[in-house]
Amino acid sequence: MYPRFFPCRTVIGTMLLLGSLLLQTTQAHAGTITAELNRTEGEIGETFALTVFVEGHLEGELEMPQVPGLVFTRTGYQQSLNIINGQSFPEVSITYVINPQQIGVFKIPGISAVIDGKKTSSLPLQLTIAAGGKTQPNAANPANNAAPQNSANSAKRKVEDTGGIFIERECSKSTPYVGEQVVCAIRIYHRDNLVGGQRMSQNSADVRRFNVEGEQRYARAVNGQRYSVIELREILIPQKSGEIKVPPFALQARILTWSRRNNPLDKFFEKFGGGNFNFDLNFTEEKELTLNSNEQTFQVKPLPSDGKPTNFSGLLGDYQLSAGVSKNQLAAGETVTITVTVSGNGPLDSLAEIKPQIDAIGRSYIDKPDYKEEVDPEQGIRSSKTFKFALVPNKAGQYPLGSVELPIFNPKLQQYVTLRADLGNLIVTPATAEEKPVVVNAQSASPTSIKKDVKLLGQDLIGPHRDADLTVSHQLTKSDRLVLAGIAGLPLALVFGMLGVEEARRRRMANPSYQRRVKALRVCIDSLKQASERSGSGEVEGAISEAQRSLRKYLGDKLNLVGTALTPRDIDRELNRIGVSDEARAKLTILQERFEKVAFSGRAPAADEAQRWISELSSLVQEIDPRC
Amino acid sequence: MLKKWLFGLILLCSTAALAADPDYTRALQAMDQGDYQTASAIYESGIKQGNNNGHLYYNLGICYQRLNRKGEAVAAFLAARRYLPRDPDVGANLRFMLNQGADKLDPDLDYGWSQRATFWIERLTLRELAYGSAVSLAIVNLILLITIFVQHLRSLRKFAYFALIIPGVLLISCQLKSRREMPWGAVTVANSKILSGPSKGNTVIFELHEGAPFAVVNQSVGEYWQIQLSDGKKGWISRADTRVFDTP
Repeated sequence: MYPRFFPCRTVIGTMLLLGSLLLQTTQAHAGTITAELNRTEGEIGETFALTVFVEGHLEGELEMPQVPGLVFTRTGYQQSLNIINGQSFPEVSITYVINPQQIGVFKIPGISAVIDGKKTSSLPLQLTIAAGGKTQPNAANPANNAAPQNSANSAKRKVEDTGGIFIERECSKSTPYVGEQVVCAIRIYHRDNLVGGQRMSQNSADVRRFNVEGEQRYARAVNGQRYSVIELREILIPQKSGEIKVPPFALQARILTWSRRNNPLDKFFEKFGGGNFNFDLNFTEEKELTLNSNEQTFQVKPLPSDGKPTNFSGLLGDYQLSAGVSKNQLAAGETVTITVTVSGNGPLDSLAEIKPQIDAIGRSYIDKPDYKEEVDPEQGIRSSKTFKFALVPNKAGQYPLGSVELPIFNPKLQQYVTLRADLGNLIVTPATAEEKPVVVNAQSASPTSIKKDVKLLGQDLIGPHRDADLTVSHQLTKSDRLVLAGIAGLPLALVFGMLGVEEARRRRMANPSYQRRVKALRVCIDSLKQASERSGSGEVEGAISEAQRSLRKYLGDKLNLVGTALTPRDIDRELNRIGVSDEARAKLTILQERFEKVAFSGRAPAADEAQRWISELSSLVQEIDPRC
Repeated sequence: MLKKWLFGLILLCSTAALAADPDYTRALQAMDQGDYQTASAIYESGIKQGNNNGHLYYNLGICYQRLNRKGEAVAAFLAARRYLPRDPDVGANLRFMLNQGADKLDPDLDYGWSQRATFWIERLTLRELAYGSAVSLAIVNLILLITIFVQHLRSLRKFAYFALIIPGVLLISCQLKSRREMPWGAVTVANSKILSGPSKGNTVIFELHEGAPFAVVNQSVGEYWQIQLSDGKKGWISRADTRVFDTP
């Protein structure tokens, strides 16, 4: 029936089959979305994992359905690349945690997404939530359905996991007594994308909060997903009875999230399905957000009034009381130390003084109590408080020190307990000389106080200089330079000057004519003395001749002349020049004439007269020397 | 008549002096009351009048620290150190401020062996060295004079010549000090970029943060200082990012 040029039916059919197969294959890889629940039935208070698988290029976000009674919280995102027959197909899996808020049967509609440009939906799912089989502590407050509890001993809260991070707080009890410590574990779950965080202060006047130092880190699987966990501890102590809402644990976190926006490399790699790349620079961005756990609600029980001692200390915990004395026997006037120690699980900072009845025995002095506190991650606060009393008995005798009591409330026993410690007896012997009251100096009687190192609490600048003169300039000014020039220059100039003068003087003194000049008078006087002696010994002519030579030599040395060539006229002229008086010159002239007469005539005077002449000459020389 | 004129002149001078000098007592009172703004204004007016006093800079540094102007506080303490190099309070406060800074820098430059060989230069001000050299020179000269006039003390002359080494060393120290003494300042902004040259288009070679100390090695070219750090790095910094007291 077919025209001869048409293919045969077999061929056409085969081609149609192949074409449909090809179409189906193409359609099968055009993009699919499937959703799976890890389980479809459970109880209220439990959580369920919903995983959505997207094959193909996911454009935008998933359209999560709104189901009343169910809270969906995204916890994870994973990309992978499938290669089939040489073709690559991207695949994305997104996980959610479902928190049922009420019991019932829930239909979860299909989850829609735009994949490869086409809107696609997954098949609907069904989830059945039944009531919890265990007791529900929340039954007393049915309005608080937003905070279901698993058991009477734990109160878990999981809220607002963002970027794969959520915080869980689990406390050891939810119905403590007033003042009873509750140890809470805070677990921060993250997918290794928590960069850092800071705890935010969330204080309440109704609850005292103690942080426990340290943290634990470990891995844990939650709903099939692996999480890294940071576990912290804190201790809460309710301060009043009734319902108390404890502020949630808040964390200012910095997390890494995958960023697909405005990143050209993301778009580039999307063509290849994205893959499992972990380059922070291209695929993640850091953002800050605040994570909170839910409010913790305590149903705080008041302490029972039945059996409450009148002197109840207010302490609540598991404590021990011990007491002792440093010695049981002493002399009157000596000191004995009584030590009372309270220790156990719980804070003791508010514990008032526990004093034994010892005032009647003598003077007592109390030392500052020693308080130690440590926080144990498991047991909570452990503390001890020690009271020390110094007792100075003033009378001999035997004294019962009695006992110390401390009524407390033990939450484990749920009843009041009075702790008691007996101090025994004290034997006081008489004092050394006579038994008389000893007035004790408070300082000497007080026991050695426990001294502690002074702790440095802070640092700050040293204060201003108050007594310094701020008006004085510390810089080298022009006036300073002038002063310095004066201080250094003047003595320097003087020294140079004086050294110059001294040098000149030295040179002058080294001059032979100067030497002669300096020595001239002495030489002349010595010579005249010798001449006088010669005259006395009878050598009058020789003496006069020597005297004449001495005079000429003297004048020659003094006046820097050739002395031997000086005539009396020359001598007179020179003496006149240098200002010698006329009288002296005249006398000198007369003496020279006498000497000349003796020299030329040969007639010498008598010896004593010659000596007189020589003596007169000596006087004259000394008289005229200052002028020379 | 003359007495009246003299009295009037003295009164005028003292009044002028009182009007001119800042009231540092009031500044201390303001500091005690926590009014550091007023105190710093008084101290700054003193500095503007040319009063280079180490205690003044020191107190000003405290005011700046209290006003959270950390960079300026460091600059003030550095200026105080120039005039009070041995003052322990200045050293302690400077160390306190530098410890708070982000940059690991010292407020000193390393001159090598010459610095170690002349260690006293850092502990003395230029003024002290100058006065020390002048006074020691004067003393030595006086001894020489005495040896000239008093003959039997001539034996001291050799000692005096030998003692000339002291003023000589002090004079050389003065020279070294005046060469080494560079103004120090500090960065006053949170982040300042140090360039390779004195203009914006140059390469950023490193960054400094508030409170980082530096020495000004070159007078400013335009709006930039050339600075050197204790680790040897050099560069140009915008003057607007810095505070330098006692500039050349």
